[in-house]
Amino acid sequence: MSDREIIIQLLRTVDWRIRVNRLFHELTLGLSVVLAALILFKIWDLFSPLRGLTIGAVTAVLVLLFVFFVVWRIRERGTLEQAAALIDRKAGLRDEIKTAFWFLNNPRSSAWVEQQIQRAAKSARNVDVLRAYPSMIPRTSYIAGATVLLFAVLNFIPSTANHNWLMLQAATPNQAHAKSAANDTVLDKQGILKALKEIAEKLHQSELLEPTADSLADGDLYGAANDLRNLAEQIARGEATADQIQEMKAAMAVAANTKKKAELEPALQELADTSDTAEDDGIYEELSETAQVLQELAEKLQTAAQEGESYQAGKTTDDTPSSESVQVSDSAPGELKRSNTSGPGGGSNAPPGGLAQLPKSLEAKLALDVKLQTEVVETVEANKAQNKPKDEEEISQATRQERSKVDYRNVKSDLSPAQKDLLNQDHVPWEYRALIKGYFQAIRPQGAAPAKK
Amino acid sequence: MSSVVDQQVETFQEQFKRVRQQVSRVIVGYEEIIDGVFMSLLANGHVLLEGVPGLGKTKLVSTLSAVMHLKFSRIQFTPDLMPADITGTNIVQLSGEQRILQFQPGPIFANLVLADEVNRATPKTQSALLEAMEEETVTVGKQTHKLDSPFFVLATQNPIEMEGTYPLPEAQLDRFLMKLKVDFPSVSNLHTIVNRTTTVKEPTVDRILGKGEVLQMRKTVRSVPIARPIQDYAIRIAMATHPRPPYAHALTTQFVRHGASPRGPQALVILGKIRALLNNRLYVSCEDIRSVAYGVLRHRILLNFEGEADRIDPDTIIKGILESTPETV
Repeated sequence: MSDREIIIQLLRTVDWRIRVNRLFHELTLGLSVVLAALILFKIWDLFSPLRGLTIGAVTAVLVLLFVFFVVWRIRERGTLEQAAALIDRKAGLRDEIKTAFWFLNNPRSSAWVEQQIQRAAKSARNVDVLRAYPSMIPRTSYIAGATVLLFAVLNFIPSTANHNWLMLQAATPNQAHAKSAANDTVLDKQGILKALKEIAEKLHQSELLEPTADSLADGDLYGAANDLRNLAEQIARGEATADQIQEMKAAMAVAANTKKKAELEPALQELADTSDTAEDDGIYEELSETAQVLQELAEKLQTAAQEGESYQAGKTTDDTPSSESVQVSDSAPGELKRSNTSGPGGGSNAPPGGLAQLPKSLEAKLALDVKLQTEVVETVEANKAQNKPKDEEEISQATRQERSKVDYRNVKSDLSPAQKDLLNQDHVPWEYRALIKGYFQAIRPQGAAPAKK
Repeated sequence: MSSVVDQQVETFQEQFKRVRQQVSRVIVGYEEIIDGVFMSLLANGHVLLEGVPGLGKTKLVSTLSAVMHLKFSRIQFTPDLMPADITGTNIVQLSGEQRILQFQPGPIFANLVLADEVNRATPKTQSALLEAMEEETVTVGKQTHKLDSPFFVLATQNPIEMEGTYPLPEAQLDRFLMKLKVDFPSVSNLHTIVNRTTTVKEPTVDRILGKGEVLQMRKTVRSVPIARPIQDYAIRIAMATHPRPPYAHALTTQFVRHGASPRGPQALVILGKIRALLNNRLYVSCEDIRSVAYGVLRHRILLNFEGEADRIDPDTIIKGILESTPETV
């Protein structure tokens, strides 16, 4: 081999060794970073389950970034000049190889240059590249190994909340949503209970509102709604004195000033409206609206509770597929519960109510609901078969007393479709309800009975 | 061919070593100064020695001249010294019955000239050295006289006594290849000095080099090749002494008024070549450049007002430059 070949070969070897070591270091570092990010997501998944789509997307992005990083680093090549400078420094050659390589690339006819190249080639022969740049395991590889291990351990944690990503397991969308809904419900429930008790204490100042206050104090929103409807009927029949009504308005005004919680804001607003109403007809309507608002709140909270429960039930099913039991938490004093009051219009026709405190046997309650629904269907079908016109007064009375088993949306109505749409409270924002109410009050025939909502 | 080069290098090293040994018989403890002075002589440059009186500066030059069998002259610079006292002048002489003007050479017509306490003379007198140091010629009247080669000026100045002195102008300073600082000798060296100089027989030196050998050594030095990356490194160091981007160092920007002239990198490279030969290398390395940077650059860095006020040592700036300038690949 000529002196030139010896020097070039040395530089190529050095360049290769440096590149391999650098790549090993950088790739393990990149892998560590990617795995660290995955570990963070995995920890997140442990506390708040992520959907498979989310996990897949995040993993894909990280893998893609890592691939780009690998390609970028592999494509970056050092020059032989750099290799010469590095080996000079590493082997203590004091720029000998670098100078010789420069003279090889920029030849000149000089005995001194030739001699210098000869000496450099001799030095190059004596350089032990493996000793100068030994194959070493970089520290980042230990970090990468540790992150791999940690990631694997996190995936195999024996926990019901854990999904093994390595086995392509992930939370279903419902589980992910229900988990958060359940958390939200638990958080809301405490605040709502506290606020309801506060409202109940204030309503106790009125004799007429005592049943309602008791129901609210027990967390029974359905019961409170029924009590308010009963009270409205009582006032409509003229069974309450003016003093009692004034006392009721005052109590409602005080209760309306309770520190507002977001969920109770509509109900408090209704209380305030009722206390401001001067006419008896208005009181009837306002009390009915307040009852409706409380019922809607109860339904809303119940839905949230059911979603949370179905999440728990689904999780239990996943863990123990053979188990058919449904876990229901025990009742605790003061928590919201389903109304079991009976009376005029109360209880039987209320939608499945209650919140976190469902009865111990959920199945029994569900069976009862199904039975009631069946009864409703039979009644409707029977009416259809007889083809007898309903007595409007009878229907009206049944509705007022809450004896009707038919959902109000299925009751035959003389309202136009446009009016029906407006009355569909599911689509009427709260801020427009007063406006709509005022509209219908303005267009109703003079002397007619109060419009039902 | 290669054996010739090796032989030249070997001869160079041997001669340098012998000169160093001979001078060291008289001058104690100043190996670096001896090397610096001799390197400047071989690089065809001049040296400015800075040190307190009594450190043997004059003795060093006289010893060097004795070792190399070169003509030596000493000029004591004083405030009333005139340029003609250095360069020489035309005097009227009788030639038969005619009177003719004849040039009478001054003390500068020598191989080794010691300009002792050069900063005591006026700038006008100091400037009398400019032409001689750069061109190796002396012009008197309309006649230009060539100085004998090798021509080497070793100037000294006292850093303590500043009263009645005239700091060397920038142009004068730039003509010195190196500025060497002579420190006070150590106690052990002082013992040796006292022992050698207080006895009946003082040490003497042998003449081991002649003009021819010195000139040959100069030629050998200039034969050493330097690769572009190393030369680029030297140039970037010199450029970093200028308070202008892109190479300016932070300290330079703050404290320096003017940096090294092109003579700076020239000096770095030529002295680097000598260092390479002394280290048995046929090429210049970045380490060679760094090792001579202080002596080459310290008198070429002119401080600004802030630098003077803060008493910034140019060596500090050079150190910063060397630390921050990466080697070129």
